[in-house]
Amino acid sequence: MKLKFFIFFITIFWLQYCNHGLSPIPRPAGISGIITYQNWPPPDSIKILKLVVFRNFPPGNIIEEVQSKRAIYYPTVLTESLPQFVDSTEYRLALEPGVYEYIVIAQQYGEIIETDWRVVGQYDTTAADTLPSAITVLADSILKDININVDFMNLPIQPF
Amino acid sequence: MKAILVKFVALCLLGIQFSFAQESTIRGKVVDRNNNPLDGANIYLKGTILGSASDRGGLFLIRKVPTGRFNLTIHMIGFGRLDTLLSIESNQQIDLGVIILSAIPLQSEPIVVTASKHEQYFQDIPLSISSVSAQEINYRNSITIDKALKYVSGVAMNRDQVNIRSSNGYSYGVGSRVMMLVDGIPLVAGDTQGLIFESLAMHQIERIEIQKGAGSTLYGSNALGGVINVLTRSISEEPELYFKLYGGTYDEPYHTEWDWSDKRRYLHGLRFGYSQKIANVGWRLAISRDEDDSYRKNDWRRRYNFGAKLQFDLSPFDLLSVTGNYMNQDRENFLYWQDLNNALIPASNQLGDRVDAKRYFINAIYRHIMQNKDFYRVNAIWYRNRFADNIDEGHRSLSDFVNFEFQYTFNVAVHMITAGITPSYNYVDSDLFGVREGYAYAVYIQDEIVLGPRWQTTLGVRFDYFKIDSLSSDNSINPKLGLIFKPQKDLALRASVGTGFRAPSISEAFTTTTAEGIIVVPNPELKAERSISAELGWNQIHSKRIHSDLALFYNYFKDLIEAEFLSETENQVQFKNITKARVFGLEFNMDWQIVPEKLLYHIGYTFTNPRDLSSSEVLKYRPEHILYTDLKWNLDPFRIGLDYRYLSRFGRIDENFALIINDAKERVPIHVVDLRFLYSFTIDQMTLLATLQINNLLQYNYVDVIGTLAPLRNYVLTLETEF
Repeated sequence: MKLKFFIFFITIFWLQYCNHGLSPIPRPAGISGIITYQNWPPPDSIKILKLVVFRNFPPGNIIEEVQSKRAIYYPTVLTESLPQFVDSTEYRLALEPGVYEYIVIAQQYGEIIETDWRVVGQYDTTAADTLPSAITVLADSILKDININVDFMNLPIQPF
Repeated sequence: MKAILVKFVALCLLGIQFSFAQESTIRGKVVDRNNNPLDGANIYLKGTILGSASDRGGLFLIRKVPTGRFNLTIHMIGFGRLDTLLSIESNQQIDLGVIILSAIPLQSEPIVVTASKHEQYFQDIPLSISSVSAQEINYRNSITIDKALKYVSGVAMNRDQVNIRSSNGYSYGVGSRVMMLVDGIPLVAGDTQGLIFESLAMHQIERIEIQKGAGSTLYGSNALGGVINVLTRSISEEPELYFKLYGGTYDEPYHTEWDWSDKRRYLHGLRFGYSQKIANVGWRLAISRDEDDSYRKNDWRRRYNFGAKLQFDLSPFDLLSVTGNYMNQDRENFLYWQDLNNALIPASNQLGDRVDAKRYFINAIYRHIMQNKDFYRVNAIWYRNRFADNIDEGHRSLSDFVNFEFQYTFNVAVHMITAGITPSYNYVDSDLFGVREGYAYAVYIQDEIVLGPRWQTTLGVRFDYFKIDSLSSDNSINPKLGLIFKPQKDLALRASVGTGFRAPSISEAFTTTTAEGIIVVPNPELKAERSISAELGWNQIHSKRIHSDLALFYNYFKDLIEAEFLSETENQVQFKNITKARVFGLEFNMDWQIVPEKLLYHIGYTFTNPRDLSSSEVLKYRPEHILYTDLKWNLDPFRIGLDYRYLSRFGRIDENFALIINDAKERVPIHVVDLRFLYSFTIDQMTLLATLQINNLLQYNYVDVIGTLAPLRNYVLTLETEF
């Protein structure tokens, strides 16, 4: 009988030892927001649209920045584009915690993927100047409302 | 009032000067079957106020016994009861020698007082009652009363609020459907009507009785879910000095993401007690200090308790006791976490929040025993609570609760009738609740009828009238009927049905505040809650080694007061009579001496099905399943204890909390294992007890309500002595 009780308690211990109840929720850091569009150009002038987040401003060549991991793009598949010819689109992008100085919408306008890029919109919270706004991404949190307006008739200053 | 006071003082002085004509004494030593002294056995002469409790050596002494024939009763939790008839002559020195009490598998004290306001044997009660002995409080180093209640079957602690068989959810510290008594006298805060579990030094306590189900027929408002009666220790004939020291530390969090502090977090405290009797006057002093760094940020606390009891043995048939306690607590305030990934850090708006509370009470009890064991009892209490905090703009509150009761219990043939009258008064001056007052009057009568050797019945009724400030006055009549049938020896079947009520508290009706993002608004339309409660029970001692108790219960609640968000999008909360509800369920308890007096096992399981009848949803903050088990292994001089607690996940919480508290919905079933080792040893004829506790042995992480992680694994070392 003693043995049965011993086994009973050991079983409870063992079952519980496998389970520690609540645990932290894995939560990626990153940004989210809405991209709004105005004055779309003709369809054949846009190959791909990407959200690109640069560590530094001004950045170097967009491809070099991506290859050196100083820039992250969305959608994460290279050949995929953000939805085109829509009024707006929502996005959510996982990022390492840290400071990002330049968040843009980049358009591939030509056939050469290495070179044919231009910026068509940037994250800018200050109307007084044309400089982009930097953001700080904290651990375990998504920075919301990083909204970008793209006006194809009124492009920002080109950094490349 | 002045005349009563003068009479009390006169009685006290008379008591001091009174010299009993007869100086007979009764002494003895209480041991178990292994000849181990039993500490804390109760010994008393029926029909008198004379009695004693055995010390650590098992010795007891009763002085000043008058001439006559008396029944001497000796009983102790977990052990049998011994009754013997003694004929006392003048100046007789009676030595009963060694008295052996056999361990019996009763989980509760064989004699309880809560059910009928007088001593009764366990199987003569038509209700479910559990008790927690001083020994168990000591074993587990329960620092406050609520910690001791965590191991009682059918009881779930929702943070610091007690929930007996799903009667209570979580009401933010405001209002309670359970009445707390100290020596049979209500001890409730005047403003919130909440139970303040810290208002007593723990080593003043002899035992805690927990009555499950409506108790309004004897105890009125608040008792519709149950009654907790804290019985303080009587004063022994011999001087007693008690000292206890404990210290411990919290383990690192299981998940490194939660590790917020570079420093180790400690908890420690001390208890000191001294009691002495000179002539007919006894006194007990109890001082305690507790400090806890806490495992959470902004949750440190320090508490002092100063308690005293004065006892005047005015004659062998008259007893006057005065008990008081002063508590001062300074603490930080952790209301809810930042989020689950920062579970031990409060939301940033709580950092720096502090609460300072001072609570004190004084009560007096006069008991006179007449012929045929008839007696009357007069008691009164004044309980003052004040607190101040710096939350948001800062709050302060002062409340008084005053209660008086006259109780008369007498026997007529097969009837034992208990009747009483009890007025009470509340006063509140607070920037949270305003300046308010309330009062209530009640009369009650109960008749216990012995219908034969196998049948007993209890009939009772109580009338309450109450008026709470500007709320409409109201009254409540609460009858009850109980029946006991004993078809054979050691088997008792019970049935009871009764009603209960709870008047709204001043704080539920009038709170106006904003705290940590929640806006509480008053409700001057609030009215009393009502309930009907029924129970069927089967209590059997199967053998010398196994005892079991099975209860089926049903409770119907009407006009339940619950805090509700006013809309799904706003953070405004109001206390409202929102719903009808019913709770039915069953409770099973079993005690088993696997090896007599060596290996003891207890299991208590409670199932409840708490339903909101308006919405057909489960009631909030109620676990459906509660399972407690404990195993005690006596390997003299070592003892090992193992507790396991399981509470199923709350079926429902306030969903609106998700608007304010991050990850508010995160909750899991509760599985907690506590382990303790005890070692008794002697140094220079001084017996000491050392205890090592490992609480939450398996580092199980759970929330006790919403957004508050329960204590991490902690190690506590205790050293205590009494001589």
